[in-house]
Amino acid sequence: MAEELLVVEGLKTWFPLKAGVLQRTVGHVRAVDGVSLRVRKGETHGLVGESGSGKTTLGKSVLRLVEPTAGTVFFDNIDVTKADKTQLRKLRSRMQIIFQDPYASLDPRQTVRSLLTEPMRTHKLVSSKAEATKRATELLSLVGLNEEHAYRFPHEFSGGQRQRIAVARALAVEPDFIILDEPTSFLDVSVQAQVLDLLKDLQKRLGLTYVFISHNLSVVQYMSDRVGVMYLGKIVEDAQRDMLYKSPEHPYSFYLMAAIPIPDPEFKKIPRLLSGDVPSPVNIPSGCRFHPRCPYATEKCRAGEVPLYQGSSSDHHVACHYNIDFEAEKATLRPDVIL
Amino acid sequence: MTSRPDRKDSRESETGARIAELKYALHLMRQNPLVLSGLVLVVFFILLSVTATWIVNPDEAYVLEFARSYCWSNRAISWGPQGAACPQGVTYVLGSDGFGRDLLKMMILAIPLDISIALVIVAAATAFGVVIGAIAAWMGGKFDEAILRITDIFFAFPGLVLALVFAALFGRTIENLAIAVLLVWWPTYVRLTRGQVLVEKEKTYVEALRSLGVSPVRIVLFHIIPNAIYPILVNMTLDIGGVILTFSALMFLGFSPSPALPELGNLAADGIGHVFTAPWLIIFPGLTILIIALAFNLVGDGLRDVLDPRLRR
Amino acid sequence: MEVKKNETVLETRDLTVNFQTYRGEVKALDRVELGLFRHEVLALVGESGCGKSVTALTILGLLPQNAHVLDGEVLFRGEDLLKKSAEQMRSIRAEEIAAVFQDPVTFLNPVLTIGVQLKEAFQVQRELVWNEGSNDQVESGAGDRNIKDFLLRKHEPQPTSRPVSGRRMERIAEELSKDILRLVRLPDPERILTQYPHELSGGMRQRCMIAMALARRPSIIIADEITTALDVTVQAQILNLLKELRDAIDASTLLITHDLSIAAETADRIIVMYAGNVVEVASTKDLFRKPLHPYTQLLMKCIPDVRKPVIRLESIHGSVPDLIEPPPGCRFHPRCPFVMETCRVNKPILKEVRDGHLVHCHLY
Repeated sequence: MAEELLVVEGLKTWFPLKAGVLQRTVGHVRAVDGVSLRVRKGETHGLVGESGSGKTTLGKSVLRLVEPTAGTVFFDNIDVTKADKTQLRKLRSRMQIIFQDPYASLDPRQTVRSLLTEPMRTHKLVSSKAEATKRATELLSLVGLNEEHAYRFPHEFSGGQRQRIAVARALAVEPDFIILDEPTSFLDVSVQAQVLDLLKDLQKRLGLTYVFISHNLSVVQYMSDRVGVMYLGKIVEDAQRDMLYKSPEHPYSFYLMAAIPIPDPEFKKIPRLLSGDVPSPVNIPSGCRFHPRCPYATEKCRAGEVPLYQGSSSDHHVACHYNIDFEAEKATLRPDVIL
Repeated sequence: MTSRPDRKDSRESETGARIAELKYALHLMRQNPLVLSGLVLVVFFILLSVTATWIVNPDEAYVLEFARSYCWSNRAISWGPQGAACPQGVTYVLGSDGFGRDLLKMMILAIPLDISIALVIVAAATAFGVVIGAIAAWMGGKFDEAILRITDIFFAFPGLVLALVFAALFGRTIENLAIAVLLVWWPTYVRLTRGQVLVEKEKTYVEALRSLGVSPVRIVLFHIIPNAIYPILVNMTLDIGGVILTFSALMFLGFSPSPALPELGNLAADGIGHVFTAPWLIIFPGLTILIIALAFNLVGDGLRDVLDPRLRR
Repeated sequence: MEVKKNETVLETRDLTVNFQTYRGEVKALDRVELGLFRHEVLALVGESGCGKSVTALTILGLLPQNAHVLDGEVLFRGEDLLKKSAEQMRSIRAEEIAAVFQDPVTFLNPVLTIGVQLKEAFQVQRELVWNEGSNDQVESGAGDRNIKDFLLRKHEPQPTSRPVSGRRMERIAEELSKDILRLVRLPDPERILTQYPHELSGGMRQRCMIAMALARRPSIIIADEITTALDVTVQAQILNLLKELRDAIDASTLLITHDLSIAAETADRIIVMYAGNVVEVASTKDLFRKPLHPYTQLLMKCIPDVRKPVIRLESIHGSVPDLIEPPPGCRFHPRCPFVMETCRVNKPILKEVRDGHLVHCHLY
């Protein structure tokens, strides 16, 4: 079994809310509120959730693009959370991120060649301009673009091509680990596979480890080995991909799966709808965060924080007190097997 | 994998790429007739400034042919456009000024003075303003607050009063007047740059650069400022017109170091008392100031239309 | 609730629209033909740049300044909407064709409460202003049944001696507003009427926009990407709401979306667009059973189906063309696996291949 490359324990990222003339801190937006995660080398760990779930903030906190408030992040046994400036810089060449918006993540004033060579020079991976340009050309062909694209500006490319350039740029520093933050959300469905397949190929070829963040459950299913479902800053279910999609154990996961539109008009879908809207991380409900919308909620659910229980198998974790048989609509209390 | 159809040729180098972009920008500017005329005028004035000392001998500025009082008080002398100037009977195209010099030649000498002063003031204001504004925006916090309050103080200064103080304290020289105008002008650039940098700072590509480990200094100098510069460039061209107006106004109001100095505002000031008998003294220099300012304004407008939405894709 | 196939409520013919931009002329729509039947949900599906939103804007008369309609007609009740004046189009948008857009934040007035905006939708209706009889009915009725009656029965205004008084109008509008908010399943309507748009969540704002559209009792509702900005669970709620409302209202819905799965779940018929052309038209069942146009076939392969995870996702080689210089002949030909010589030169015609199933392709 491969070793664990990324270990996140109890990560919290809170943003202060200031109000009043004196700008006092009146509360916090608890974007990430106690998340633990383990990603094995070579694996893709998916993170799904809706708006307010904290999945993007989690990704950025792991990289310290946003400073976490509490908790630890260990990358290859190095404590990222306590790293100083020099160590952090070195880590930056091993942990990369691809952003959601290909129209905004590239400096519009930089040529592609400059975009690719700048990180190389920053981390002193090349010794001459010629070597840098050569490496840039290699990277371009690695992502399926041509040498002649090097001297063009980002606005001359389509969205899918820009994402490829972003991938090439991330690869320029020779990372081991990449966080993919909704990399295809802004792309047309007919080209999203091009970028996704590229990412999969690169993973195999270069032995990369991914965390794949998305609100699109089908895409996460395609890309991931393990999937974590996030709700209001916490992970509510974490399991092997097929286990999660075939038999989700947390009510939220179940309703999430049920909400995905099916491209088949003859499929008779039973409408399973959640009431209410996705809440905001400013006003977090007491007890289980999901209880206001959960049809199975009981007094116990309102009482205190819900720990992560072990689900139907040893690597399936669920943050719910009850074992719910969704088909039969029955709920039974879980035995106290807490992780 | 094909990219979009190209309008431009493929390029071999970085500079080649940038030249192609520049050519495209110029092409866009050419399409608007007003901007085009502004551009033509600006080029014309700059050429004129550069060649002025060849066209007109600067010594002529200091040839005061006869006492001023003689000309002004002698009604028999007609020295307007095409008229005969004092005794010698020489005719000047635009007439002669209060010192009997050829007005046209004086104006030709005055244009480079005005334009160069304006360029220097605007360049200096921009240089100071951009650096300070960028640092303030990037660092934020108390430093930012301090800079903002300082610029507030400078905004409150009326330019005229400052010029007066400077002239009184340090003497009425062109340099001091330029410094006075500069002090009034630079806070705008601080505010402008600060606003732009604040906006750029939040953009995704800056976050991406941070995630790549690029140093903040490099991010600000090589990424944020080049992207933030467009509104500043536009402001600069518009300001050249504004500075010329301000500077000439100051001269007109009597801050000039010497009454014989060939400067447009100064030339206009000459005729202020004689506006009904010698109106050309105000009209021609005034008109020139107007046209120069207008030309730069048109170019600035064109730049604004061209640079911002289209190239900043 | 069967679709009365023969009754066409809205039709466009040969609609060709260009946009003037600095970089050149964008040939956004190229001879677009569509027909909307009575009481159906028609989905207009396509990816970025296909022209689906432009089509909607053309129908509504909301095209920007730099757009030119070069050819075509938009027939509504026998009249060409393109020939109408701005004033006439305003009145049509107020009472006949209602639109709901993707981002309610930009389309709801941020400085007015929901109540004011919703009541206005009722108060502009000529029938209510001029018809005592109608208003009596509204006032006497109650709640759910009231609003459904109101929505279903729309009469021509018969002017009485003078218009209904302002205060009475206000009361009527208030009652109707509360009822309609309940109809779109918003809890606590009284409170919502007093709130401002920014105080509501995305899903609630979208429901308010739907309520405002319904309030006008339009014959046609155009919904342009109304769930794109919403979370998937909220999207499911809104789509379910649309299905429920179909019975309450006697309107046709033009549902614009880039997501074929949404169309599969919600629409009766689907029109597929690509790069400014209509490439296929069929009933939802027919389209999924047997897609005819190569683009439709490829597109369906690209969509992941959660029930059947695949090892390799398909994609369509190339990218959407630049509409300033679109490919000659069939605009899809550079990416088409079945491309023939004629495709590169000649434009295809939209042809009916089977009953109700049309294709824009040389293969047929």
